[in-house]
Amino acid sequence: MANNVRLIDVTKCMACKGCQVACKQWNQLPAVETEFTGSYENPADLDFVTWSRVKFNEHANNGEVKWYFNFFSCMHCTEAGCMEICPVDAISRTDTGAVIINHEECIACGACTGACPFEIPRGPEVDEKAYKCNFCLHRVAAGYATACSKACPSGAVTFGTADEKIAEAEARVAELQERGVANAQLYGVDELGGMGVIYVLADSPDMYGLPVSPTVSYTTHLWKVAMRPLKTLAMAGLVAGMLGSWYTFRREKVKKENEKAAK
Amino acid sequence: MTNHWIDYRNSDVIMNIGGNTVENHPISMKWIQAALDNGAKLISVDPRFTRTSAVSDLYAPIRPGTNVAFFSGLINYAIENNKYHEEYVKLFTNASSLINPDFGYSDGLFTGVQDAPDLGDGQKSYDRTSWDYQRDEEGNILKDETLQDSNCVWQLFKNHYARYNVQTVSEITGCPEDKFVEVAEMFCSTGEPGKAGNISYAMGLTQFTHGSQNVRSCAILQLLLGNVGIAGGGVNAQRGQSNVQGACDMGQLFHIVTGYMPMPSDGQDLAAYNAAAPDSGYWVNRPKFMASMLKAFWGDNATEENDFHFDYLPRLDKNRSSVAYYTYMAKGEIKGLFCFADNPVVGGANTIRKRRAQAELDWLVCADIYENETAAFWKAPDMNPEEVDTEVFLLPACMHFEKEGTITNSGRWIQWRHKAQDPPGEAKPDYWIVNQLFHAIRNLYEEEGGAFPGPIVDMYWDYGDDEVDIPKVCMEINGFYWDTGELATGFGDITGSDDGEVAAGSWIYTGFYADEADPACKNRTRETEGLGLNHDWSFAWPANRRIVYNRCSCDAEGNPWNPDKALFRWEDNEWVTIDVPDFNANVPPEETADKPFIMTPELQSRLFAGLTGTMVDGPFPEHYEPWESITANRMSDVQFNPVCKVWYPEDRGESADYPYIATTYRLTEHYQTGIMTRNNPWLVEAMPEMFCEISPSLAAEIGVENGDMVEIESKRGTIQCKVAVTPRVKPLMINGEEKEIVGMPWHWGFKGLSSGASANDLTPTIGCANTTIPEFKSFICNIRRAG
Amino acid sequence: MKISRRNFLWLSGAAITGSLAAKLGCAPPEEPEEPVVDPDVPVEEIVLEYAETSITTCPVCGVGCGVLCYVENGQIVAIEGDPDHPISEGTLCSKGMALYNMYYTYDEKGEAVQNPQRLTKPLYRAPNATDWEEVDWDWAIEEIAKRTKAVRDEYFKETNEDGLVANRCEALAWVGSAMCNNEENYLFRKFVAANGIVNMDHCARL
Repeated sequence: MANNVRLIDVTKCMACKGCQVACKQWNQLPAVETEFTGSYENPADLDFVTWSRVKFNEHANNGEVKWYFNFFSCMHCTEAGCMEICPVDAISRTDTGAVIINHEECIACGACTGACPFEIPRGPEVDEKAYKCNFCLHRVAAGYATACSKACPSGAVTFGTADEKIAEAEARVAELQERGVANAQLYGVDELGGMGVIYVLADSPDMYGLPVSPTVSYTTHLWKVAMRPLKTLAMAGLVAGMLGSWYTFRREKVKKENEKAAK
Repeated sequence: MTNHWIDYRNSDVIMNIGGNTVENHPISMKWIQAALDNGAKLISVDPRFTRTSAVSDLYAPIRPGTNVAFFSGLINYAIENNKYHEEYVKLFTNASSLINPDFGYSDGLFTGVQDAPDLGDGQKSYDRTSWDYQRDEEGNILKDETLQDSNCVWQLFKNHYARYNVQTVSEITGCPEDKFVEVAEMFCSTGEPGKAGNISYAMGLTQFTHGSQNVRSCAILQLLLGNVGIAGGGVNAQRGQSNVQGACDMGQLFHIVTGYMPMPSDGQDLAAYNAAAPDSGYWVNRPKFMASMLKAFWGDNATEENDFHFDYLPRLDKNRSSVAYYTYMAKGEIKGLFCFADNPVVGGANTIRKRRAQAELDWLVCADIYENETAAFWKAPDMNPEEVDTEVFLLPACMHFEKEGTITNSGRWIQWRHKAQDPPGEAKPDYWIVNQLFHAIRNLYEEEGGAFPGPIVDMYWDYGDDEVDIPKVCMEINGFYWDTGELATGFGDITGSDDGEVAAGSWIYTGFYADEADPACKNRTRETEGLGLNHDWSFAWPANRRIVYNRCSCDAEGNPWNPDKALFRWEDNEWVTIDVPDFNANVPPEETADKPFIMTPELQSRLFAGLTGTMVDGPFPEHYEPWESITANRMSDVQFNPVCKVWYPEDRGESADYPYIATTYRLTEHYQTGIMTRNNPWLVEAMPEMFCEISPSLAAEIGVENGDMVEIESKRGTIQCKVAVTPRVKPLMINGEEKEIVGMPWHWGFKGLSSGASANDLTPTIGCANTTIPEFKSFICNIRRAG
Repeated sequence: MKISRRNFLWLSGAAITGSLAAKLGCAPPEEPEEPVVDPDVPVEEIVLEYAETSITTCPVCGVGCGVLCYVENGQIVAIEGDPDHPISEGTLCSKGMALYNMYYTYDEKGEAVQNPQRLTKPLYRAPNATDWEEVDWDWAIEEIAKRTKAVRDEYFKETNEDGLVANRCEALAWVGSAMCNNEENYLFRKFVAANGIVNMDHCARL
């Protein structure tokens, strides 16, 4: 289990995007060009200079409207697919629980994106390297909370030790259930060996645009077991594996886009 | 705000109506959440399901422009179901006062009605004589403490509101009956002694032809439930801008000077002005406050012999609000306009007319941080620069962190801002600009003479030639003894000294800068326990009082309604004070029990606002439709507020041509006219374009899908933008017919990093009968696929 | 979009140091197998530690949140919420968090530059002109003063049509601002009174 946890209590989130902009400011990330497509959600996706964003999920059922918000960024998983697949060990975990990318080492293969159940690391399409949330490494090392949690006005995004945050999340879920939020649930405590981001959800994860059972694919595990110990192996194998993984990711992405377009 | 932001945590029920608190004041959610964590409930009443609605316990839809009906329904519900705080109402309101038997109401009009052709064809005004109390020979108001007299306020009040039953209100507002009853049950639960209900609002109550009556309705409901003057209660106007409170306090409004003293009228001398001051209540001190302001304005030249140069103040002859003066500008009556850090060509109503009006100016001076649409009006797509002969000066101003000074938040906290960096290039603070301009104009008058030079050449204006000495300005606002320079520490310095002995720029601020070395506005000590009043953090006017009208937090004997959240307590023959008392705390509670509202002459709050008040359109709020509406007024034959000024009758659309209700609003990611945010890449990224929002049913009707371009048309103009088709907007059943709503943010204009259509190209030139705030929030439109 | 060296160090995972972890009393990391070390970036390098801070108040809505400006070499380098502020307790919304971009944005090299939309010179637009021209402050102030006086002198009314004292100039108009400080608005009020301006408002009513 990760040492530090970002707790996201979506029942307190009002989608002010303070976290999203705080991330941009602290990490000195420039704005990207976006367009209005009918939703308040923007940027529409993570990218090389967008490491976090707020998702807006609109649901209408029998005239009752639900507008669910959630802050979405790297989950800093214990079972981190990105870390497992990285052919050059550029991705590692710090003692504070952050899964980070060493950009001196990164070879821009894109495998990590494909191996991540949340498609978090981004970059190869734009730059040479993969980029993502680093859990505000420097802030945390210096004793500060992450920029996103520091900014959050309503206490929806908080940061602390895993024990403390899990206990808090469990209590909150119990409280919500007691208040009649029947579907209130935890997300991230058991998933992926324990994520560095834990959600308190008022409804099932898919209602928030989160995978219901996130897993690291079998091929990624296989890659770790079979290939990583032989990392000095010929580039041929490395590139093949990389491309395979990247291809799978692209295929999935294209498929999703097509589905979206079809809707 | 009667209360303040942190105080939200003390509420049992918070109703956000006519505002969108978490989108437009996101940090308010910190304290709303704290209340929710303690078991409080949040109600969101809004035409759309907003981000506030998303986090609320109860959402109720409402048709824009029907808040009087909505509140009236709640008031009636509280009365009929005996949910009001009876003891509070009897003690602190004018419920028992007897009203002139001639007073009456009939079919949308009150007694005293007369034709007022100068306000528009068919418009009315009131001779308010009958709207007054019955008095004895000494002028004391007659009362019936049993509340049974048919002429007592309570009986008139009950009768007036009895017409607003749940079904009627539902048909007017479009709020389904069951939802309305849910809201009524939840909010009226705070009528129980010891419970606190908070109503927070913003421009969704004020920007209507009946905006002032919306706010009155809100205040009446809060008085009825005993929610004024207590922790967790209040009538809380959430100010949209960081210093809109302060700008009002400093008199940046046509009808007042500083400290909410009215402008003098034509021919009025100081004696007449002072004679018009209320003869009871705290305003009896107005002559002292006026003298102190005049002393601050004209210094040594202002003497008792020359009435402190009261003659130097310009006299107000008529409505000179921005709505009004842009119509004068359109007629060529105004030659020069100064516009500091403001952008009326995006933020004002009916902006197509505004741009054309500005073309009638000889010259325009704007100061801003980026190029705004007001300064660049001649570049607008509908203007031809070669035909605009207005000269324009656009002066580069400082950003907020490039200068020092104070700003005042919604809770009236006056907070000091330190300067962080120098401005870039030749950008200068607004105070530098006005200082330079004043000196230049005074020099010209001193050298050449000119028309009535006295007010300029005699003005006390000595803040430095280049950099302005801001602490010196602060001390002048705060007030000081003119002869000794000793700073005033409280109102007593002004009221207890000779006229003009103390010079105080804005009397209500006295105390905020009473210690030059360590002014209260710089205080930074947080409260560690208590109700969140934080008396040692900054300074709240008046007198560092955090919750106003706070005598109402205790009963007649001085027992707090809620001992756990007490502001005061009468104990062992003295007042235990937790907040700064808004009453005389040197006398036993019985002596102040029936006079907690020290700013009204009757010393009580008004369920009936008659001659002692200023409402021009009725002592009780009455529902009228907005100027433009898709339905007929269900309550009377008077369609819209009969007392408001109609500037351009030809601008009024008919529902046959414009069948949809239109409303405007703001977004978290943008700010007002967008100058500060449409030039901010991170915020443009987060909300890149102008759009409108409609329901899926309307989208199907006009054949558009999410993200398509649409054209929205009103009688005033046409704009194009993208459309968001969302179930968060729903048609409402209005008087038996289903009516659709088109909502749009008003942040965009034709300049900036992100440019887009201005919603205010569509809004009408018409304002509230009392304040002339334009009716931005409800008009009618048509919508179709663009192209 | 490239990231500059300084930015890179700031945000790169490479910057965490083994020695730093030891200094903070953390257990040595299990992973990575080889500690990632960049001795160039000690903890003091984070801007919250080394920059001067200026205490101020957010200029956006009426809540009045506390803001800290971090200043290095006379320039704001970061803006965050003031944790001591009783209302905001260190938090800010998207507008508050984006204040930095009002002052500085990033160029294509990832370097912070002054927001290019910012006005830094007085501008003048002559009658019927199709563009602005840059002018001097002295000229602008003098010309505005002359025009103000000319209008005031021509249109000032000491009395109204009925002979009652009026003392106003109806041909001038004024828009003050909720974006200006109290002291500025106060000076505006005095300026307006001196010039006899009665057409006056600000965005509380716009």
